[in-house]
Amino acid sequence: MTQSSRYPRRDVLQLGLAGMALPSFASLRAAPNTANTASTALTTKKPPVRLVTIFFPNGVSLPPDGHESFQDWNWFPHSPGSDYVMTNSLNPLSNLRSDLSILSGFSHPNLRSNITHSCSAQFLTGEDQSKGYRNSISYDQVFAEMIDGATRFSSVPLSTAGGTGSLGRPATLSVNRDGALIPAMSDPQQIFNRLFVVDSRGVTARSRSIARDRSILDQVSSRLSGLKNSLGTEDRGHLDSYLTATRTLEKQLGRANEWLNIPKPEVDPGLFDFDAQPTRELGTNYMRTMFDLIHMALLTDSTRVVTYQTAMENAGGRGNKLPYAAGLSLHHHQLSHSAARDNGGWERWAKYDQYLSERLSEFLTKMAATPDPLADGSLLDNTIVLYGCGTSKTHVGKNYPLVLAGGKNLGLKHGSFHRFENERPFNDLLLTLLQRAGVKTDSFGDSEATVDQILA
Amino acid sequence: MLKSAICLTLLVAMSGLAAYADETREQTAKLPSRDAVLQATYSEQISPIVERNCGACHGGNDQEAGLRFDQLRSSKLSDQDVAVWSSIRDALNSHQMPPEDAEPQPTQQQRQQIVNWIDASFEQVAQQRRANRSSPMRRLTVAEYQNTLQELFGAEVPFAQNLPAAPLSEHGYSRDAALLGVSALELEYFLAIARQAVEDYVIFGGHIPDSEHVLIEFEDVEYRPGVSGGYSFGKPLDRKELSHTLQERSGGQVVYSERTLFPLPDGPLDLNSEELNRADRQKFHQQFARFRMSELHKAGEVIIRMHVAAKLGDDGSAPRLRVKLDDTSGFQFEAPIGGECDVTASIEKPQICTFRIPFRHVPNTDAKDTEDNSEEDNDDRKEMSLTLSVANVAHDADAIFDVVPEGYNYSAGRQGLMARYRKTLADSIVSKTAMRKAGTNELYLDAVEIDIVPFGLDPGAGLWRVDAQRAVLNAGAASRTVAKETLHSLMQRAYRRSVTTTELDSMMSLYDQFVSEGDEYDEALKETLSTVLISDPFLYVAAPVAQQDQPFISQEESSQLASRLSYFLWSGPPDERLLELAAEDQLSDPASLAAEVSRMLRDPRARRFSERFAREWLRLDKYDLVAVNPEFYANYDEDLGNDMVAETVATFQAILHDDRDARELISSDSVYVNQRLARHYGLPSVTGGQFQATTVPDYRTRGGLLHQGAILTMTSDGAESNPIYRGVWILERLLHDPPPPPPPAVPSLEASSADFANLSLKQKIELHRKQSACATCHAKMDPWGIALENFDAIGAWREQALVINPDTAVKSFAPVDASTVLPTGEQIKDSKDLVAYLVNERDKQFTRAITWHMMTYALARAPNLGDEAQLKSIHRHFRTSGYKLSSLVLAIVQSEVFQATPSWAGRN
Repeated sequence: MTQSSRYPRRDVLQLGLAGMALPSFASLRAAPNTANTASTALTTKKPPVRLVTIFFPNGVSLPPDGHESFQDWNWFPHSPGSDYVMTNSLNPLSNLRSDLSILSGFSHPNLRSNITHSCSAQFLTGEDQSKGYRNSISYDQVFAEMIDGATRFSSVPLSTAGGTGSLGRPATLSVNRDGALIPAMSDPQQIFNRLFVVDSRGVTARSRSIARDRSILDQVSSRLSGLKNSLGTEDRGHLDSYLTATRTLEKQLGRANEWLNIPKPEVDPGLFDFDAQPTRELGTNYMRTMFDLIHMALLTDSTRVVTYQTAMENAGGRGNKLPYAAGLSLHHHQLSHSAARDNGGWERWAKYDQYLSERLSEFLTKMAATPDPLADGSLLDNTIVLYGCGTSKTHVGKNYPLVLAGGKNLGLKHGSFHRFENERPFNDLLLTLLQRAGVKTDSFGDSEATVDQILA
Repeated sequence: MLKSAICLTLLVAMSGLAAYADETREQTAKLPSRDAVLQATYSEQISPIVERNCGACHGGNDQEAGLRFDQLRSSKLSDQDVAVWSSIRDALNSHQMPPEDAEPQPTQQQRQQIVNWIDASFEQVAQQRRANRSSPMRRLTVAEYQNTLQELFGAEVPFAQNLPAAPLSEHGYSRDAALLGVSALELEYFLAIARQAVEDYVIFGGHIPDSEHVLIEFEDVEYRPGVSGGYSFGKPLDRKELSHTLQERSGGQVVYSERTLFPLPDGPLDLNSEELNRADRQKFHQQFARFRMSELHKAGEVIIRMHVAAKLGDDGSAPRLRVKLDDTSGFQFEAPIGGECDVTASIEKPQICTFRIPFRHVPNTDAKDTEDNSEEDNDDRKEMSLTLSVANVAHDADAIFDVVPEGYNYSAGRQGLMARYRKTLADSIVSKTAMRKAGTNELYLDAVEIDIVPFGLDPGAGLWRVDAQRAVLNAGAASRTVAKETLHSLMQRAYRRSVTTTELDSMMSLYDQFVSEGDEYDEALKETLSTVLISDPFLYVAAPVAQQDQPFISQEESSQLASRLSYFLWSGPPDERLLELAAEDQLSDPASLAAEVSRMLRDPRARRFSERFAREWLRLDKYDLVAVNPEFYANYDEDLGNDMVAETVATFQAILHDDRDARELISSDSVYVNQRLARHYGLPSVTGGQFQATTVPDYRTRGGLLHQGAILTMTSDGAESNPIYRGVWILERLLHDPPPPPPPAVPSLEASSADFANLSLKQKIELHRKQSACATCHAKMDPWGIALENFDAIGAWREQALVINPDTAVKSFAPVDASTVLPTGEQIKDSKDLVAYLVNERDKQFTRAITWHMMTYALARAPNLGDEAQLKSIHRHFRTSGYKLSSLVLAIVQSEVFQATPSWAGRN
């Protein structure tokens, strides 16, 4: 079977933008919430809100004041305000100034002095690690829970390494309500298949399989409901956790059932480079493909929540070779560790910062150029994009380098570099973004206040 | 009158409260509970004193040390509250608090009043804990879950490899009952894993295919660049052909591959070069070979017999052979590395090293949905092929890591591609000559025999067979009977106890439902079997048994003593014998229990326990969190790190399994090292990668946990040693006297002043200690670590310490000063002195610490106030045995607290 016979090109409307196809409108309109009273809060009247979080490891190049590279290659601009000047590190984003803000002075209070290679698992939670691994729900999942049911996938966690990684070397940013790491997908083909390829088993078989899953859950939970009264308090807690899990799965199956008869959007696989790998030759293609897939997932309203970790915080993982793709001769961890040692080390590292800014810029540009099929404005106007890292320099847990973009229709105001002098809790920012996304809450983790400077 | 008499007795029992018993009696005419008495005492007498004397620093305005009395619970104390009150009591008793210069100071009587109230509250808590003592229902840990599936299906494959990573408890333990819940995500995984296992290992009719054999002569292996997979395939043989070939070659001259394998250099491999990094490029230390199965076996075992010989290095070093199956096309291995083997045989008489690698094939369903673009091998054949990688993983400072163009097939393949390899040939000869001249060892490859055994050699392999013929012969009735039989036996193994008729019938009703909804019997059965593997009696130890079912199983089955024992000592399910004893209520009989514990400790499965306990007690998980900076430690690499961790585990295992004195963990003149570690430690050389017991000469400081690379490295930051981390580790792990967490507002150990950057770490720490906010706590922990300053960040001996300026990264050296004064006033010269002090003066505290930690592991919770008497008596047994760890294990198993029944059992 050839590709073109499987995805008939005549059914795929070209939008006129390179690398992108519009899904059939029928599938977009048939979102189940029109039929599902449980999610009437999310009817088409309210424009969709999307949340994309991108994490890169190891901090950024921050040559010390007085160093020859300080002026041009310090990641942070040298003075705050709306007339700030981007250094080379951020310069690729210069065309997008009015769509983004640069932030400095944020960090998680719990993680300021205790920085290990595990920080990406707490980047979006801020949990204290001084007594060993502990975690709570990440901010993207708070939002995903609120809009659960609105899209086929409540969230799509991605990372270059894939899976959950270990607790010491996490390979995902998303954490569920129980503090467990949610596995991320890494292979472009696998991501495409999950988002857009129709399950070959057909609707009847899938519906049967959902029915079976439900009977199985019924069986294991009904055994327990009768036993509860004979248990001590602690044991009852364990049973409750198990029963809650079965109920949550039941709910997910119900959701899957609702989506069963709604076809996945048709997307031309020829638009993506599935051979791309995070290597020297193909690394740039790999990152572009990942961003293309994120863009398409949002455009087709397959999900509204995406997290993406470009690489793990150590020398081993897959994403660490991406600097080779930028034409550099060291991997990411080495780049950051040898900046002060070598002549030109800061600049060399900053070139990778610049390379990452280029990838971000391509993504944001495309988002800004795509009209939102479900609301006014561009896709970017209705999407909050947070880009950053949980350390400034390697192993320094303060002053996270952050770019906040998009979300103009959601009350975010852009165009400035905001410098907060005394470290503010990063959760203040996450709380502010959650509120902009429509989550009704006045706290997130150890947040203290909202960040009003970024609000319109 | 009677009422107040009881009340009086009660109060007298509360030690120390007699002083104000009179007042209290007045108020308690209605015989309040003890809780109420304590509560009243607190609010009327204790609280005012605390508020007046402590509130300024530990209240709403200021929370020194993270403590505020206005929010501290004074009744119904949790274990956390107990820990806080306990430290308050210690601070009051030792007059550490309130600080000398603080006003107002409490009177001595007031101090005593508070202490007495704390003691009485603790006694009350202890009584409540004892009364409610039970064995908790506990989910299996990821490791236990995997071991259980492996034994159930007789296959050592990584069933649990995709489960989300699981956290450790506050004290570092994976078995903590409170921590092990089931989230929806995990339940989803459990179901997917169960289905795959049932699919792979439950056999419906048919026969198990014969094993297949491959013989590869390494001189015949060719590389064809440009061809997918590259390497030629070994010759498939049936059993007869294999034995014929083996016989034929046994008489003749041994022919080795022209390519011999050289060792690896020390230090990390050159990762800068992608050319070097590509998996399909042969390196000096490594050679690939490919083979194929004639049909795709879903699961089984590859048995590898390598015929090899060695040229020993000039320094006597031996090549170390490692074989690995590469995961290329959907195969999963628990350990793709089949193992390692020191090769010492001479070239005249090669030796055979045998490895077993269980595998299973889980096709990537996603990939199947799309077209495969591979130009070469068609899909099916690719699915059936495996790549064997053979390497010499000995390390030699003179070795060179580079690609080797030899052994390629020059006649075939693509000329353009070949040119690249020819170009490197000249370099390769230079490198090889240099290594030969330096006298590195070399590994000679003769041949490899490979057996592919479907389902593998495990006794449990191929256990689950469904009589499909009988089932379909008389569809309906017969298939239901067959299904019920299979279900019954799986449930018994999975639940680790007898299964009652009600339980079986209930599970069969699910099968019946599936069949009535139109499923075939085999499909319905598979789904029902999978259900068993996600139900709570499988996933949990001490899962509840319904009241109406309890009379039909033995008491010990009900209390699940066998499982609690086996998951403690084997990290896995009980065997037949334990289950039989439990079914007859024989297991808890003291003599039989002692015999079983001793049998279990002799079983190889007990090494899972000794390894896991050693890893968790000593917090070896933290090793992974340290990133050693290659800039400062060029000789360090992952292999050396793995050796270090292996040394620590091997040391603990030797002391447990050889029944030696536990104090040898701290102080010993013998160490377990291999060639590389011996070199790292500066010890007399040993040959090979195998760990061997070696005596430490007097002029070296080694022996005991405190002198081990793993411990010293993980308590560093990858660049510099860290006496604070080291001190905390000793207090937590060896002395069980953990310091309180740092208060939230204290500045960390870093400063921007240039002077500060040039101080040695010891000097920085001393400066840090002068800050009053830090002083009290740091005086307790830093001195312990300072005594270890002669060891650098990767545990090597040093006389000069590296000082790195964090801003400029400028390095300088400062002489090491390891002398220190312990908080109790002892003068300590160096680490040898510290070890001597620990083993002579703190041996009781150390052995109590092991007792506490092993109890935490065994009970799946930290001991609480109610367990203190038990801890004492267990420690007494431990001591009288001459601190044999096996006696500690037995004393724990025989304690009331380990044997406590679950909350739901025996209450009818």
